[in-house]
Amino acid sequence: MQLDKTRIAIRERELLEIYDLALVVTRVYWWKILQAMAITAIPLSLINAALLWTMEPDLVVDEEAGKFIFYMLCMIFLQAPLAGLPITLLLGDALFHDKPNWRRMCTGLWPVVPRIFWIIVVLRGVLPGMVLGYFASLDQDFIAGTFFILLCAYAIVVRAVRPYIGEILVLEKNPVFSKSKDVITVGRRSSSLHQPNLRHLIARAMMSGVGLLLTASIVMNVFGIRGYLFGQWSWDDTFLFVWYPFALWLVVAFMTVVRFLCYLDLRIRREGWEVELILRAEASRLREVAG
Amino acid sequence: MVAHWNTEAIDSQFKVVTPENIAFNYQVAGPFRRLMAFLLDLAIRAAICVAFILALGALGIGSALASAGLEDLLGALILLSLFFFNWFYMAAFEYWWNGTTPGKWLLSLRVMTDEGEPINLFQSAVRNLFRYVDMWPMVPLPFAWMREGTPDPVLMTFLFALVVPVFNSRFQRIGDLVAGTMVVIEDRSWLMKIAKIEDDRARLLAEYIPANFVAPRSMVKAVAAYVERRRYFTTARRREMARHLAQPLLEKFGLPEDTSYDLLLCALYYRTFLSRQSADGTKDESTLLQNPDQRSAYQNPRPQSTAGAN
Repeated sequence: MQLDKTRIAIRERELLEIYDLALVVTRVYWWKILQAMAITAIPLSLINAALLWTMEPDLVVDEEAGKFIFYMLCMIFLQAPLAGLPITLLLGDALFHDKPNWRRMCTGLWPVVPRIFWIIVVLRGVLPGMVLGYFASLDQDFIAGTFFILLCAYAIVVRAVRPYIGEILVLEKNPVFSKSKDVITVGRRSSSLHQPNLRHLIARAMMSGVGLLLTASIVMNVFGIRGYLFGQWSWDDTFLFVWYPFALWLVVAFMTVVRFLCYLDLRIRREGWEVELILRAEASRLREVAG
Repeated sequence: MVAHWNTEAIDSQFKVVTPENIAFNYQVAGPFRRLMAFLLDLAIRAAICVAFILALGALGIGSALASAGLEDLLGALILLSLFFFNWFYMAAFEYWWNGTTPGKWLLSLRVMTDEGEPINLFQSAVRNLFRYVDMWPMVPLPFAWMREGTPDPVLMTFLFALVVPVFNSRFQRIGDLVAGTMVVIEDRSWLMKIAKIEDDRARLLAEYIPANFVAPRSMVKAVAAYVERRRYFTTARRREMARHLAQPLLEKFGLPEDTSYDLLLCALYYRTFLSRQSADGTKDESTLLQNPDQRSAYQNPRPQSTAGAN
């Protein structure tokens, strides 16, 4: 492994260029990305379907179908940081290796699982979202519905100002707590990475609005392709429980690639990560030649 | 002759090699950047159309024609002008502004041929004619209540515009493939100047680097990358980064261990790029960059002198 020979060219990039590069990365690793997405998306889709199943008899009514579409969108939005973790791992590995290897990726991951559960599943609202989503799907439960929407608003703010917590957890593998001040915990690392770059992060979060356009486009395309191929133009159960979440997970996968590239870009801009890699690679060459 | 997609590292750069065997690296623009330019142009066109209609009203042309009983003619004229304006705005600008439109110009984009040459009127017209194909497939509006009362109840999904560019190395949409064009990002930045070394201690320390030490090309690049970016980092971060290379270099040069890592790399940079005496003892610094014998530089160091700094 040569540190300065990365599979994805590392240099400073503008936000729009990162989105375009994410398309290329997705094309190169599309099969691996689909596999990585499936690891989390399939169980989460089953859970979501079970949680929202109470709405199923009423989905023939447009208003109810609209509500279902909204709730499913919110649930997948809340679950996206968790669902994207395998893709983050994959890209982290792919950056320095020609062929990503699952075994290598999972090495040392076990201690991180409780940290992921606490920070992503609990604090980032995945679990509360599932509970509230379930109660909101019950008839006329406006209180749960309101809290569900408020939770989504909270998640938007948290993810706007602290977007790279997943990357810190699974790639940098910092501990959550430490008594020693010298140990870089997740909190300290997150602060040092995110806090000085708030303006950059807010711009990035606003740009993520593109994800909504992309979602609309992908969902309508899945709807259209299904219609043209099979002549099914209705928003029936199969579409709402299978194809619609599938379209949303595709967008989650793409946005995870974008987030990973944004994380690299931030480290390049603010921490000179690419310079450090070049210096480390040069030092190791120097040591090799010196014997 | 066009080179293949950069296989060394995934990037959005594309290399064009001329028949004279000169290579140009182009930064090709992908769908997202181009979508922004398209939206900007759309906004500009909408503003001009509104201004045109308001001007007709303000100048009294609209009311004059209406009072003469020529409302239909007025409507037809407005429709025709808007139609021609919308259809030829992009093509005309791209032709007369050398491959750019106001929206593209704002985002530093320019349309070129596959070979990196300026486009002609035919290419400009063809690529814009096919723009509407990129908006396909069209899909009916999803709900019945949306379709009711809508004269044209379909949505443009822009799938072709998103997918087709991903499957070719130049991010070309269908119109580009037909016309043989691509959209590149212009680099308007100033060339990077050589970094100034303002700390006199770095110049002094440079004197202690063995005179026969020739930094290999990769090391020159690494040191240059560090010195050009170091002003953006904190002192602690500089130390952390420079340590990787400076530690083995200190050992190699026989300098004291407490020498500042950052200073040593600055000294090496000064010696390589700024000093009157280049690293191989000659006064021509360009020769150092063109043909450094890396292995011999590492393997045959001169007896080292010890020196303190900082």
